[in-house]
Amino acid sequence: MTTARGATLQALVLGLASLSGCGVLALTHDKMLGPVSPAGRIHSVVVSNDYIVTERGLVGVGDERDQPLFRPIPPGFPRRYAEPASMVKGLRGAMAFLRGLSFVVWGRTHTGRVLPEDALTVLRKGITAAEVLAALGTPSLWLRRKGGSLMGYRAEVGTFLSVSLGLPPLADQFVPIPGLGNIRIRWHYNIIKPYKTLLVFDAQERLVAWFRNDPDASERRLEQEATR
Amino acid sequence: MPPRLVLFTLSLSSLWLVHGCAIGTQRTGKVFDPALVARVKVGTSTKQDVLDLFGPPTRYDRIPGTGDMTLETTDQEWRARFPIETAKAAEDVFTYEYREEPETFFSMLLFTYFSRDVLTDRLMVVFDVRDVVKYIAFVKETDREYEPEEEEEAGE
Repeated sequence: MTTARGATLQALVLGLASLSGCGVLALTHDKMLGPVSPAGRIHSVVVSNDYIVTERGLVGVGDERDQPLFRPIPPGFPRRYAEPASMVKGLRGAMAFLRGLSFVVWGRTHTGRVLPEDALTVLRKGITAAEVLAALGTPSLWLRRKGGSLMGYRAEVGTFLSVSLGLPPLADQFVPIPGLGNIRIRWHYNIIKPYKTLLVFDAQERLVAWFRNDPDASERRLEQEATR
Repeated sequence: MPPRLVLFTLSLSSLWLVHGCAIGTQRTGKVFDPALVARVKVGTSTKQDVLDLFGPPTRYDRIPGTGDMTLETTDQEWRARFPIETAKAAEDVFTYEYREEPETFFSMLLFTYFSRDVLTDRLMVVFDVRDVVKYIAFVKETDREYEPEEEEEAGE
């Protein structure tokens, strides 16, 4: 019986605690005991006075996270953590965790599109910047100076491969050899190929010269040497 | 079977549970309407026309131009400090962007594959000192086509 009464009392305390903060208990306390209570006005301490009423409800003035107030949950928790951007961040964290567990990681990244060869056929000395922009599109970089300008187009293709050997996570806890779980051999292969085209213009913005790198040249040369 | 071996076997087999896949695309901005891009004319369209068509730009830059700036002053000291042949008027550049980041992630039994692309449709408009379009450039890297929004039917 005593146990049941104790459980009821605990549930009551928990229930009252859940009503604290800006709830009924705090408002009642402030109304009845606020002026003489050593705790002062609980409601204003919990929800603060630094807020304004907007169409989205109560919004803190300034950065809500900077307010050093006791709160049952972080301010704006549902609004900030249920946004799609937050979910993407959480998903990226889960992906990084799974990637860390994996023994073999293989991936590729592409940034931008490589300029097609036929688009470059229009390039010749003396054509204007307008003609270049019409043929190649928006540059990644355009540095303009009084004496001339530089225009750059860039794309990147990345390849990633990682292989590691060792005991899987958690499994190392059950092997009775000290330090065995710390031994891990990892091999990384990460290469980023930049495809860059650089155009130089004079003060009248006419093409003076242009350059293009060929990141596949070394691979082609190796293939040619192998076929000989 | 010793309990330690059982736990070891269980922990190894639980790695089967550590897997997942994600396929998604993050999109930032709005797809360009090619008809609107074609309406911007070099030497004719003004900055206000561009703002009316595309709204506020994603990025705004002011860069040194190549056209001579007219110095409306007879102050000899000023002219001596800034000779007219070297004075260049600044030009404004509006850049509009629509970005897509398609991503694929697959992880299964200690093997992970991922792929991530960053593709950007970029419209750049350069204005001269009179706020008239001097250059326009557009590049389309994404495969996404413009879909006009359905106009709301006017209520009675």
